[in-house]
Amino acid sequence: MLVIEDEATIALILSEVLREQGHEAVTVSGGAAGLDWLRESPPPDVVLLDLFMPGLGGRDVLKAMRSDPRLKDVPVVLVTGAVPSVEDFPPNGTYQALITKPFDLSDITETIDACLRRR
Amino acid sequence: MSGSFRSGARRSRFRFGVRCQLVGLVLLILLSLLSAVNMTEPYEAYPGREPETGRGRYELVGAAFTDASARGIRTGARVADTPDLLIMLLVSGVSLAMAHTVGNRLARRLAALQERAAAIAGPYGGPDANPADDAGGDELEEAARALDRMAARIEAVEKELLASNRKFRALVESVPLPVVAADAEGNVTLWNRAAERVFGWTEAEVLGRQSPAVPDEEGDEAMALWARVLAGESLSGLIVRRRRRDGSPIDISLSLAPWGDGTQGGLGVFLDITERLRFLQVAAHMLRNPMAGVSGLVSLLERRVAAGQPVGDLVPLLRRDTERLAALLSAILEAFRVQEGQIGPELERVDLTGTVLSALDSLRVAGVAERIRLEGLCCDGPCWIWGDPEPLRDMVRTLVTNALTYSPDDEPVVLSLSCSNGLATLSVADRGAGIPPSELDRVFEPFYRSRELVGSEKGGLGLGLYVCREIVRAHGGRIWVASAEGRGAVFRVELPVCQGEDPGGGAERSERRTGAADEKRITGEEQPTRAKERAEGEDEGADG
Repeated sequence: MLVIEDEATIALILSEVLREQGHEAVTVSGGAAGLDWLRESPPPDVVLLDLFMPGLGGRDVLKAMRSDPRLKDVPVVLVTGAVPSVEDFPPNGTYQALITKPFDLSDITETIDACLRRR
Repeated sequence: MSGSFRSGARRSRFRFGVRCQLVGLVLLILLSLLSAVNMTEPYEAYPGREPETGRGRYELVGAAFTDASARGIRTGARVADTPDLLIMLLVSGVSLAMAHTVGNRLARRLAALQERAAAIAGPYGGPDANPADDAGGDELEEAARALDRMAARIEAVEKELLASNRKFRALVESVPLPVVAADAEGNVTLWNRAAERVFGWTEAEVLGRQSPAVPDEEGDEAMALWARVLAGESLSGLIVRRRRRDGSPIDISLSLAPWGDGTQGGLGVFLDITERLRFLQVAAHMLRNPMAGVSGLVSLLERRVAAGQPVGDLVPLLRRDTERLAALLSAILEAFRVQEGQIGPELERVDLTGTVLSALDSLRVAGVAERIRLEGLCCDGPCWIWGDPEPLRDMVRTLVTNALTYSPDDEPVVLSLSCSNGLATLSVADRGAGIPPSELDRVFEPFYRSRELVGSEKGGLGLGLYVCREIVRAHGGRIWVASAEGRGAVFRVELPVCQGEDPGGGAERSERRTGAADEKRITGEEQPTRAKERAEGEDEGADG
């Protein structure tokens, strides 16, 4: 599991929930660092991706993943709080699920389970 | 009155007169023929015999008999012994003459009345035309007087209507919001200046047609709303999407009301809430991040406590997120305060130089003053503007703090203030990374944050520059930024200086308190030289 999230608190919560579920969780801060990790490491089971980040945002990361043959089938769960406008949203079909902040911890576990079942 | 006869009336009178004359002529001919028939029996002349005076028995037929009779012609056709015929002829002649005269007079009076009525019915001049001049003492005179009373009444009503129309128009124009009226078909009948300003079309361009501000996709809904207004319903607080002339969307809080029962159409008042709606949307989203942190951390705390695990590492995070929430809420409330125009009513004479120095003092307490370099403060003395001191101080502090945030720690922030051409100009320059051209327009938008600093500890909440802009706007000034990437940014604020002579003058002050912003800007631009002289004159006299 990869968590790409620049908010330290959210990153900590997400990774702790994933670990409790028995997954191995890697946390990377920022879109560019996340994309670098994805390109250099074996593809994760699921990517939890924050949409609104400085520099390379979640939308850009998702676009890059979908055009990369190695990463195009990796399930992505978008985690979003501040969405200034609909235009900032990636197109439907490019991501598997969406979690809006604030969220219940059970939202995370259920969404991840659903993603894994679908694979 | 005669001077204003219309050709139609003149023709009618002529026809009436000629008709009377023609009837007289025909009667005369008939009577002559009758008399000729009576004269068919033979006659002899009685020469030497004096004709009888009075009713002459010897007459010429065909000539004017009265003339012939007066000359005492003895000879001629022997007229039958018919005194009755002569009397009849005489009476007929007199009657005809009288009929002709009376007919002509009546025709003239009727034509005058007709002219008067036509003038009253005319588009405007009617009631202003001369009153009917008829002194016949009969029904026609009464009709003429009635017509005069009617004209006077119409004139009064017309004047009242014009005055009321002018008042209504003034009222509509005094509303700072777009006001639009339309008839039963939905065609625009009124489009005030605020509507021209907000939507971009002039009144002349939209009168008599459907409002071009209604986008095609909203057309059906707009007509449905209009149908409700025509049915007599008043609607308020509708949130609708309209468009400006340049095609950009505009969110509107719309109120609609019918004229009377609605069959004559109605009017709508438009409140542009585009910015507010956007602000609320973004504010709600901005609150989500720290909220998610707090609620997630609380859930983790519960889990760990239940499992008997340590929670010490979560507490600082929890504290940080609650502090962020509190800061964000304060900033939002502050932004609302400036948005709601709460600055305007508090305007007083404020020395901008003193305000800048006071803002710098407060930063000195924060320990950053050594990085701020002052390069010339206006005229080495006070620079008076109409303002609200506290928000102005906040604005200076925000601009300086912002510049400090975005420039390297070893680079100074340069601040200057100048007064010229009726304007006070404050500039705050940093030597940071600068702002990309694509983002220059957006830095004053609510919740805008430099892409480089979003999410980082260094970046603010994205409301500082927005609040600055609102404060400057409320003071009738303007704020803008110039920047080249890699070479820092310069924020400039222009505020109109005071035009008044008397610092703290009561009457003048209260006069300025209403709609001060626009008024001041106009004065400042109109008389730059005088404003400058005055500002400098005050500088000398003030004790700073």
